[in-house]
Amino acid sequence: MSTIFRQRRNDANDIKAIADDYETKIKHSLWLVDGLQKDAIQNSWDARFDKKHGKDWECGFSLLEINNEPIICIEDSGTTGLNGTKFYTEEQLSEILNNDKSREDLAYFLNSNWSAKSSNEGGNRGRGKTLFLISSRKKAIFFDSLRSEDNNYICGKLYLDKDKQIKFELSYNEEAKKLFSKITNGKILPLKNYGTRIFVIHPESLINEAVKSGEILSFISHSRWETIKKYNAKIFISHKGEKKYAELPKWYEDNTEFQSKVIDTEKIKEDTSYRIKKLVLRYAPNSDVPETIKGISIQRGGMSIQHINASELAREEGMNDIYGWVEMDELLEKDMKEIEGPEHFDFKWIKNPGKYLKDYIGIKTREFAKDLKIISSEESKKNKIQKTAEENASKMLGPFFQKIGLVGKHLGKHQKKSYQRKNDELLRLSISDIKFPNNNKRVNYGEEINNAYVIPINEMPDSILVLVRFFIASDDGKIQIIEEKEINLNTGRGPQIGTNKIVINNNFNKGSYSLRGRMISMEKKNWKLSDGTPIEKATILYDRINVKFYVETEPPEHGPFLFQPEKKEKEDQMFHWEPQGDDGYIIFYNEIHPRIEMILDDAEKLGDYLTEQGALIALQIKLEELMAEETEKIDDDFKSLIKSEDVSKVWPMFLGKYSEFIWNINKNKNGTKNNKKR
Amino acid sequence: MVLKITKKDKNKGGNYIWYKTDKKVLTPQDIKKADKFDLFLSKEIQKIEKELKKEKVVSEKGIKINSLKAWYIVGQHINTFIKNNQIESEDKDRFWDSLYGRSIFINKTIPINSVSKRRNDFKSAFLLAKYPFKTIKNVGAWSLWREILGYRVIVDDERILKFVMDRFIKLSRTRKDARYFLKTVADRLRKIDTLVLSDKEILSILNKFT
Repeated sequence: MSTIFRQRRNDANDIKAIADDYETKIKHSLWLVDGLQKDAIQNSWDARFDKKHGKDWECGFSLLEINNEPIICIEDSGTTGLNGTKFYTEEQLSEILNNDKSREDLAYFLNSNWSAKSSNEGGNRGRGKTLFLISSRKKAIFFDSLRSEDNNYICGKLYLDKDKQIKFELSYNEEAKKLFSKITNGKILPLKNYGTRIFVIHPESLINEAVKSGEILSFISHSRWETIKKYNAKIFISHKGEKKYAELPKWYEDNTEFQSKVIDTEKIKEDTSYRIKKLVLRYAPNSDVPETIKGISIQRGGMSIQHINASELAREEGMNDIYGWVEMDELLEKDMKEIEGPEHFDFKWIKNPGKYLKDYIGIKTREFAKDLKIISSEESKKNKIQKTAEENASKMLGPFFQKIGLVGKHLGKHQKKSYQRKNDELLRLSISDIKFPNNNKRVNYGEEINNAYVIPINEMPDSILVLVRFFIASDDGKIQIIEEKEINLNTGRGPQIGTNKIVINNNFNKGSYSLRGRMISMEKKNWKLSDGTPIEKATILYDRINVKFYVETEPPEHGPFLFQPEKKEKEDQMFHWEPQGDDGYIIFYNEIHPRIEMILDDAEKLGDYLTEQGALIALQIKLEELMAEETEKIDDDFKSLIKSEDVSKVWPMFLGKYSEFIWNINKNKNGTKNNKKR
Repeated sequence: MVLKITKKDKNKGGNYIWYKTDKKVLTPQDIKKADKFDLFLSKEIQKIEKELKKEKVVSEKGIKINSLKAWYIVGQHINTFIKNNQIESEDKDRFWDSLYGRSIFINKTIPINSVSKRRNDFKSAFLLAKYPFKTIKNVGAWSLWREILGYRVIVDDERILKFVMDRFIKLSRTRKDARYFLKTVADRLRKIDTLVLSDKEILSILNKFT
């Protein structure tokens, strides 16, 4: 006779797979913190007593220490507790789960992929609770709950056992109190009010830090703002007796200084019954709208599920300054839930009603943008022409800048030496494996820099004791060491020093950074470096590693100038310029000056004109710079001009250089044209 | 943080106000904060002017009678101001820049170009004020201090700065000799990461300089 076995699942792998799903969807380094808060609060909110007003509901995250071990306690009140049929055997449990009834919170809580929540509740996939285990480094939690339906107290443990199976232990009433006292060493009293507490044992340090620093509050505020706004919901974090509550971000307050449009109850697609309850659009230029708020938030069950970037809805400049949100009516919300990702962070937009909704929001956002004249076809066309002209002028002026030593906006004002790769040093560092997520070295929050390490190389005949320091330097001079290691570097390649990946999170301010490496000798050698420096202890053997990257910022444009249009009703104002930090200059051109106005719609003519005038302005700026700073790196013509202190020599010298420049660019242009003709 | 900076307008003459920040766009709140910070700073500058006059280290026309003492007083006030007003490290360079052009008793002209942070008089004064005035005075004049503080290798390792100060106190030098000494020390340490050296090891290098 054959025997029927129950298939054993590798729960450890399932946990990892779910964790991977969350990480992929949430797309930032604190994905676990964000995912945990979202699911935990949603479960608690769904269990509130007062479904209509959420009265007396409260939920929070506290960082505790029990038996010298950190614990995150997720607790709520004003909720029903883990109600549902009590069970004592596996058979009873199976029966409850297979009956697929709602209000079996206890059984569903303790088992994966089981849930019977209604569509107007937040979660219904039964995956969120796995996040509690993912959050625990020991893959273990314990919990207690006071149930409103029978006043019973329960306590239990849920953990991943050595045999890779998730198991749980459950006790009721007096037994439960004993179990709870045993786990907590009697340091915490059992619950006295209806509600549930979940204790995550030894949470991942990112979670602890997010509670300590309060960073978790910003995730809570951004995802639960609607609940906070409508129900005055109380969501807190607590650490060392200090309790802080999540607040409504000012961007979602009703009173706003921004231009807004509110659309109430409207059908999103003819011949369907799908309606939005409310669509709010706001235009907030020059207001530093946080990245997490930008775009249109799709609200469901009182939480923000996903933001659609407004520029994705209409690819025009200025769209990025639009933010807002959409609330759905019951039917639309119910069907959108069906196409929502199980992590509650996205929707399948290619499926309906997702597509209907996205199209609708797109139409309304474009209308709003047109009302505000963000989108004006003629205006944007003109802007594009001007932009092309400005970029061309900047490009054409490049060689001239180099020649007079005004090289590179963001590259300093001093003359750039023409780049020639130096020969490899015999003692050196290599950073050739590094990989950036984007070709232009822009790295956005949530993205990673891979293979961020240096490899020390020794081509000398003998080993040498060295210290290798690999670090990130920000533009403001802050240093963050990635790894510093002292090694005996044998001939050949040494070990990797650094890390396999750097996750860029919001601990990095927006801006440019450099990955730098330095190798220092820790002993005296009878060798010399290629420049003749003898090697002793502390000699810098190599410090040529300097790889720039740009966090949430476009890499700098080349050329020390940016051209920018302005409108001035002044005859004597055709051009003026202003320094832009230490990085370069902005040249403003007056677009209503008749000479410029007549060529505004011709990218080539405008580009040529800006190029010619830009060359003269560059000469003036260079002269001013040289007069203000003593420098040895100085062009002979400028040197004799400054030395002569003769103003009458300025214009002829400028004219000579200008003429030479214009000659060359036109010669090149004509050459290209002639080649084309041939 | 946003800082309000006054600069000379090269094109039109006169001064123009410039709100400097890393932020892409300024909000009205940023401007308000910057104006408030600027007001506090102006009040501190007034206190400095009062003390400079009281100590008679500047003339009524703003000519420095005792430059070292004058800058030392400026440095002491800046120290206090920085302690009382949180200035984030990324804003420090802009802060030093923002101090120019506020008082003719401190400096008569506003530099047209931004001043290198190593050559910023206010930053130098701030570094000076960390030591007792007697020590500072014994080292040498303000012009010598500007030379010393212009060398990164000397300022970045306090042990080297103390050694240099000590040498100047013990052995008086002409301006030319002092310059030569500083350059020699800096050249010797140019390719050295002094942070990996113990006090004893660094002194064994430095003690070779006379």
